[in-house]
Amino acid sequence: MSDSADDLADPEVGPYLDGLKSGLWRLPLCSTCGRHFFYPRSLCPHCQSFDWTWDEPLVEAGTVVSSTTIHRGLAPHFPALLHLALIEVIADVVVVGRLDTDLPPGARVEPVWDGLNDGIPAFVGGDRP
Amino acid sequence: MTVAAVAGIGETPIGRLPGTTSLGLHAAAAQSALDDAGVAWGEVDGLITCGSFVDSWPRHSMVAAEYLGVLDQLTYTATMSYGGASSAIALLHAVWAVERGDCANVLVVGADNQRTGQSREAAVATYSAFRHPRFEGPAGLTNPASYALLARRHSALYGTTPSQLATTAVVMRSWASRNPAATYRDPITVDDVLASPFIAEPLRQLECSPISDGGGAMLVRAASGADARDVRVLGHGFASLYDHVSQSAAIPRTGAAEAGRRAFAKANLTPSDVDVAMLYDSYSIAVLVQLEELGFCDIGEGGAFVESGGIEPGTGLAINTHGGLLSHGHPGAPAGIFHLTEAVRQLRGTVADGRQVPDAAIALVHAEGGIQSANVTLLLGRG
Repeated sequence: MSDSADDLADPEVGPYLDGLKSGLWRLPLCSTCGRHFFYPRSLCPHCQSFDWTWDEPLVEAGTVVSSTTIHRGLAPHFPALLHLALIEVIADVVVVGRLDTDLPPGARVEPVWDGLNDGIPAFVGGDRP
Repeated sequence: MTVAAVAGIGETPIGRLPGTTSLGLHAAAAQSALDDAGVAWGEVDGLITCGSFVDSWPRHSMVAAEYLGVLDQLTYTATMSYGGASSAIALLHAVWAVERGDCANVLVVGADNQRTGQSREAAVATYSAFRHPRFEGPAGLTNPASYALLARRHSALYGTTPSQLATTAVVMRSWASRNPAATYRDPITVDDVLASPFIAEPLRQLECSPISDGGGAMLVRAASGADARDVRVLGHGFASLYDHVSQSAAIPRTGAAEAGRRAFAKANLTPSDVDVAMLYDSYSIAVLVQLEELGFCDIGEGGAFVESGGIEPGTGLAINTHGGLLSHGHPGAPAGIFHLTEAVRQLRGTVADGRQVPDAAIALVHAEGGIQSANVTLLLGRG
């Protein structure tokens, strides 16, 4: 769905998706208020400044804000049991991510870089070896 | 200054209505509201609709007006697109159109035939398409899964249990068992709810509202001052913390708290003044969040409140006396209109079948669209 060259060329979100594909978090950082924001867009939603840059913060772990396992979803496009979570990657940046198993709110998770995957990042529990 | 009032209400049946169309249900609901108000089609000069998930007209209210044959007599028309909050916002616009003198008789109509007009797969896909197309949708995040995120976070923060969540569905069914119009009327227990299959953990099938056919309508005109059946909007509030649920790290908190505060302040009322409350029970968790944020119990105490009988029919706060979205029915975006029509009946004192709240003078209606995204609180009273 988001694997096309058109998406990677999108002026607002292309650099973010290209970062995911390359295995790094490339996130908008506001030059005026100093906060990251997500999703990428033309202006900072915290202070409405148009003056922002792409930052590449080193993020080793995120935190599950909340999660669910979907039993009745969008068959046949998704697996029968689908583990999804809202994950706080860094202050002010929450993303929808895939999990490999059901993890509760508060769990520490680490990103798994396995390609663009429709622009949805994947995570695994952070306590495993 | 002109004060507007709801002078007529109407409803179609709800549930599975084969042979109906979305616009046909609009016509039936509108006819019923006009009959109730004693207003003729030729007197209608305003029409506000709530859109349709089956008919994707870009100018829905104009197409509906054309279908009804009233388009050329309208001085104001609008389509409200706030999901489940559409009908409450439509009512506000109708009140404003009458009070500023633009219209004399405004019809508010919400109806759809999503149950028979779409397949299950198409209906699920319709709701899923409301997710953010790039950052939510491709993950497979469904509508119930989005509410499940609120529910699981609520449980993590406050210790809310599955049986507390399930109690809200049991209460809705209890009210529905007294309403011959409701879709699901056989009483259920907490164990029944907890034995129903997971849709998206922790939410189970009986905690998720069904998809229905059906519709309702209201006729708004200047309050006569003499008609005891008139119902007025005493106060309203709108507030929102996010549109897409993934844009908030503060879930399960929503805009309901501020919407409620604004409505109570405008009406100069408090939660203890409310005789009957219509909460947007699209999912069990939504009821707990709204009970807390609207001030009927403390934040985080919603589960304990319902478990200790806080919304028990007959003894606790009367909520959704028609059976709510969970048991009366849920025809998509227009679903909230049945909360409004039941509130009007309660205030008129004309609810049948043992559901009337004695001496109901103040009704609260909370409507929300999206994932508790758009929040509208209305306080209603007799004209």
